[in-house]
Amino acid sequence: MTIAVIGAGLAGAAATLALAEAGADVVQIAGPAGATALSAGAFDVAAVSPGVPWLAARDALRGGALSVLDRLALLLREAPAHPYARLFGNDATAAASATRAGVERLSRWLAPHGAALSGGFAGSALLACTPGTLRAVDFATPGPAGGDLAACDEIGVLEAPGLAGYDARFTARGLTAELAALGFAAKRVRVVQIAWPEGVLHEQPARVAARLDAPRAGDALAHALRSASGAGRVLLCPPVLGIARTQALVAQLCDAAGGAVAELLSFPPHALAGYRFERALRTAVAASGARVIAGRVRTLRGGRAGDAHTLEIEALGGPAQTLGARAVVLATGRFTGGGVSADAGAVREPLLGLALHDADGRRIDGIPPHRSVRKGYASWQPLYSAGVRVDSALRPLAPGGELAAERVFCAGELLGGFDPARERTGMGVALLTGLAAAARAAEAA
Amino acid sequence: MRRGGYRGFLREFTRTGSWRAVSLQLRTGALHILRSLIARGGGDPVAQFLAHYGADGVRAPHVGARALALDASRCLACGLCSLECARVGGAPPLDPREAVIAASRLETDLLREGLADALASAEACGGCDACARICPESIPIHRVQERLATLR
Repeated sequence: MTIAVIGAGLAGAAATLALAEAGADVVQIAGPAGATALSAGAFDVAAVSPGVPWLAARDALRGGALSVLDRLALLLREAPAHPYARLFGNDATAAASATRAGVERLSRWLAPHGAALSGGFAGSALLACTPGTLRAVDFATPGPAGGDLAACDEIGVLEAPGLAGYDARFTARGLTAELAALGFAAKRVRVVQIAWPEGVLHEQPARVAARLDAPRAGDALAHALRSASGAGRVLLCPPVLGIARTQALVAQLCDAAGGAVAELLSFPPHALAGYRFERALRTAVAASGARVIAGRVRTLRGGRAGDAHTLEIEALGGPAQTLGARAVVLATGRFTGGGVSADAGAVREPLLGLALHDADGRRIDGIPPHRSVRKGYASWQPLYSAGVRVDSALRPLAPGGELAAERVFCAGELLGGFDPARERTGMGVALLTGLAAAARAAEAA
Repeated sequence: MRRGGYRGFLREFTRTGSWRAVSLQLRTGALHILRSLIARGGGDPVAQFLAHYGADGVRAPHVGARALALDASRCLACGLCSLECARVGGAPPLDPREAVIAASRLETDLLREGLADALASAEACGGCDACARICPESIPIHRVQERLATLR
């Protein structure tokens, strides 16, 4: 029986890939890009516990990094509304082993497309961002993966004159201050100058990245990096190391420089690593044998008693389609992906009109979004934890606590009870709930 | 002073404290309400307003600019269209963002900052629509570019 997966971000892709691997008849309805494509291309399973901001970064720097298991245990204890708690209760060991298995599966699917994740379960890597800030992450895509500052004392930031929106001196100053503030005075940061190959820079970053996809430009950059060589050092580059063949280019540059070379983590409007990650997911889904329909689901009906669901799909560049599906994985995201909408003056879930709750358990659908926002830049914002409440099988719950749909399984940011930006568990939730929803949907179909 | 339109006028006022700017604000604000109460007769109120203050640099937004600006104002400035355009090999001076950003400013800023760059970018576009397909807000970027070009 057909299973429909709505969504092409990490949660939707993980569900589709898992179902295709299991031999299910799966159709993915892939809309435009969402939050996955705007991510930093780095992956947190449970980086920060709600009450203890920046805990992981400080901990990683002190050299006594908490393992993923320790942090999951902390999170499960402190955040009972979190989707991890829905899936694993209080069992941190089960959560950790599901995480390990999930990341290994995802890496296996992405490896043929040059986007395998690196990282570990013992502790976080400490990566640098373009504004000169630090971030502890568990897993990273090939571009930024090699830039773990905890592992080395000599840090070089590559200068790129003429590259819009990038200033190596600014980044280096920020990193020096951040490292010193966290008690790492021994680490030295300096700006590294090279002779960039001609005709590569002096453009917006997207164009520079596209140029570096050409093998000849990559060879020229590798040649220029020989002058900047230094074993045991990490050389941080602006996030422009190719779009389609980053993994190969980074390996080539590491060889040439005789040390680690990595991209700085980047943000929109230039979140190159996240964009590459999302593209790799789409490529992997296309290669998996799953059917993909590019478009948006307009209505999702049926599914009562034993009936199948009927999806009306507005296909991109084609006629409208109707699809019957025995079970549905709903991975439509939140505000960026369109799974939760704040248009027309009220917060709502547009597809099924599901009830939305914040992490404190207050119902916030049907009221204006500004009512769920508090003053203060660093304040806890209920709106950012808005999402669907689910039972332990990830099926959506109505306000009274009864099932809102029997064979719809929610995954990813659509789930409420957590704030992905604050807790830094967005990608981990997307992966684990995507896989879990796929398993439940396969049983129900 | 008049070249910059009303916004340019106000901007100049904040820099120089020009009394002409103060007087224009008074005349188009409170005094205009009095004037329209006293004046009788029909006619298009917008046309009347412009007839009175056109000489001071007050202009109406371009017809068609509003629809364009509404489409473009959904832009999150996420930059995915630029990345997608670079990947599929769009022509060198092309950045789909420029047209969207310029279009979203047409209504609010009569100075039309960046319009020349945006038009050059729109001209280089081959219309493959890859940018619109990846746009999280589904902005019809190519249509925004085309309509922007008609405002030249």
